[in-house]
Amino acid sequence: MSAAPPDPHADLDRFADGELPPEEAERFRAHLAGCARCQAALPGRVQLAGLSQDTLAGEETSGAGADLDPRRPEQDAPAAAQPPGAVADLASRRPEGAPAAAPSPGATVLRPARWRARAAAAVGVALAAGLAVVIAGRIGGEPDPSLWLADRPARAVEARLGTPAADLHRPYEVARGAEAAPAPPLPELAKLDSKERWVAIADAYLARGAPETARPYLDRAGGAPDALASRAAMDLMLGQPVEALHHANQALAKKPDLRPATWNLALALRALGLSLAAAQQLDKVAAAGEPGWSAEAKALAEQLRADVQRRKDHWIEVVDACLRAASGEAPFPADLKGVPLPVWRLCFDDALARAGTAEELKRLLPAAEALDKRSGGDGARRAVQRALAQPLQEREAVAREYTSVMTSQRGPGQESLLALADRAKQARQRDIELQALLLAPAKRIPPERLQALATATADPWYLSLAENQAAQALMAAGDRGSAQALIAARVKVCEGIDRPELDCPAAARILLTLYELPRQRAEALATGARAMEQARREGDVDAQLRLFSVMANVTRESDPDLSAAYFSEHTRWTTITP
Amino acid sequence: MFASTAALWYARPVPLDGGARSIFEDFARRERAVLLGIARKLCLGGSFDPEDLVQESLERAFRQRARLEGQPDSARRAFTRTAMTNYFLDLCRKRQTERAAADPGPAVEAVPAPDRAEPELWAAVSDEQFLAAVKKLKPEKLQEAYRLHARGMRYREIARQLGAPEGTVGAWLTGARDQLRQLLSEAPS
Repeated sequence: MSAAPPDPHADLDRFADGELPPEEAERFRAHLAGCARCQAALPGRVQLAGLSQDTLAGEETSGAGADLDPRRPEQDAPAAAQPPGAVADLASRRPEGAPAAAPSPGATVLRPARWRARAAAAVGVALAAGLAVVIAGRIGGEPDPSLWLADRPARAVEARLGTPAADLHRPYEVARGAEAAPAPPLPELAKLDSKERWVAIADAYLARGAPETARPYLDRAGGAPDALASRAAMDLMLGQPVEALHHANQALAKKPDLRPATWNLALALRALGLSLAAAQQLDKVAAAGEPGWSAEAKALAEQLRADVQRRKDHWIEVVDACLRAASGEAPFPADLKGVPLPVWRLCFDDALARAGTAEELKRLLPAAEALDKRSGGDGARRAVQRALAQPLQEREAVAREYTSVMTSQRGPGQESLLALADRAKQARQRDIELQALLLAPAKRIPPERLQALATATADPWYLSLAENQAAQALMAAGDRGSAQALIAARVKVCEGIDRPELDCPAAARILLTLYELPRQRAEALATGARAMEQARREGDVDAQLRLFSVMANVTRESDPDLSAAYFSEHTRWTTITP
Repeated sequence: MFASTAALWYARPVPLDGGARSIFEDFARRERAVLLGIARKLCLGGSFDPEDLVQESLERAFRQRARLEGQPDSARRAFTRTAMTNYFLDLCRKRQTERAAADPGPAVEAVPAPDRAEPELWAAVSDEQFLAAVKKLKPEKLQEAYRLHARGMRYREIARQLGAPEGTVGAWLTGARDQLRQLLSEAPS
């Protein structure tokens, strides 16, 4: 297999089928880069492979060996076969370990190493770092590295700067890096000024943690890639990650391998809560092999991925326990620490509606007390008491119907929920009627019916759920103005102090979908950022996932880059890499 | 129990913007598995990251979502797959250029992208049309080989199963693709 075949074009099929040995595949890729004929043929080849996978991959295999191919295309269950919803996505994929965005084993470097990386390999990392300064100094007549504090053992700013001489790696340590940094020496600045090296001047200020002083210089520097990279650093220091994302992206559009821009893009993504997208950018920096930066990027990416994995694992545990409790398989835990409260309340409500007898209802009292203790109210306990005070003769049948509607394979149908609500009303089981109406599509419910039921409970939780439904009904009827007024007031309450007794995550999402006009971009970003922060704090992975998705949609018109980043984060969290 | 999960959470009072967003997400989730299978083969033994390839192509499709909305699924997937191929070819060319710059010598020179031919053909091929075309593949062994390959079998396994040399299997598969292309371009859309 070592001799190259006479007709290199003939290898296209075997290459695309993954049948060439690694070194031949690599050779074919090099051939492909220069062969117009093969390039023209590949798209059709890929389309055929895709169609085959779409239509034939599921056919029964009579042969024995088919499952043994380690390189076989992924056989993910089709989406339709999985329970819908983000929680189900995560829950059903539980222990498969690997972080969603981790590159597959064997995949290492995306871009070839630069000369500096090669030098690093040849003469050793430390020497190469010094070499870079010497060369830079000799060629460019660079000022002393101390102008950018590059001579210090640590750096005070996490972001990277566009000026190469300012971009020497030192560990990031806020305290040590900025310690008594003297102002940039004026003669050096004057020299740079005379050469109109605005970015270098701006970087001297950025390195000292003074973004506002740097700004006028960056304004003059225009749109060169290094200027944009430094501008992204400035944005990050000013707490403006969206701007940082744009500037870093603009820099990369002009110069794709500008590492400081990639680095700053990663930091911007991280600040936006897009951990896995950030980790992917850091992978690129890590792969470039720059002394110091590479290792820091690698460590940071690992940390981000581990954090996501930890959150997912915790979430799966929570949801699992919650659902087991709801279905009566296990008791509700007495300690709800570290568990998002709305999640537990939903499970509790589910359990309440499933409870068909006085006995079963009473068994929920300890859980109700645990919930109330966490939320600081008495809503859950009163919900049990209200249910117990109802005539219970017909409850068992209604509760059974509720369970059957909710456990239907395809999720509860609209019609069955509405029928269930009517049936519960007849049997005077108002809690089940309320629960069914809260789950039914908003536009199908007379608002006054839901409102009356929620008001009768005098429980802020049910009132907030009913309000969310009302806002959605208004939206569905085309009255977005009223919907926005209603829900914005609620979100304001939620953002003020912690209100664990309300379904705040859902309210924030509804408000966000109302901010779809480009002129509402600022409000959308602010609301989204606060909701994201809250979801992270609460450990509510479901809320986080839904926010990624809602934000992708809301910013689609006003900010395609940001929209794509949110979308990409969503797919990374919800798809699994075997 | 997870049916109940689904029910409980899916029905949670959450706005779903008429389903447009979730349609794309469903598509992306389904498509990702197919793309990753192809990308792994394209990247095999090299330094490109198949995940990166897949992610980039889905993002490209996402950016074009407005344009793809309302079009049949076949158009959307054809677009995404073309996007992935183009991105892959860009990477190959870019790396070749970098290699040539680093090591001037008899390296292959990267050529610019050719005109992208026949995108409409693929956008219009439905599952049914494709399956009908596969049924017409002749001779029978060739069709059999194609089906086995589509199920993920390697050449070696197909050869063993059909009692033919590996080289013949490769020739069958190439022949099958030529026939399919011909059949699909003749099929009424």
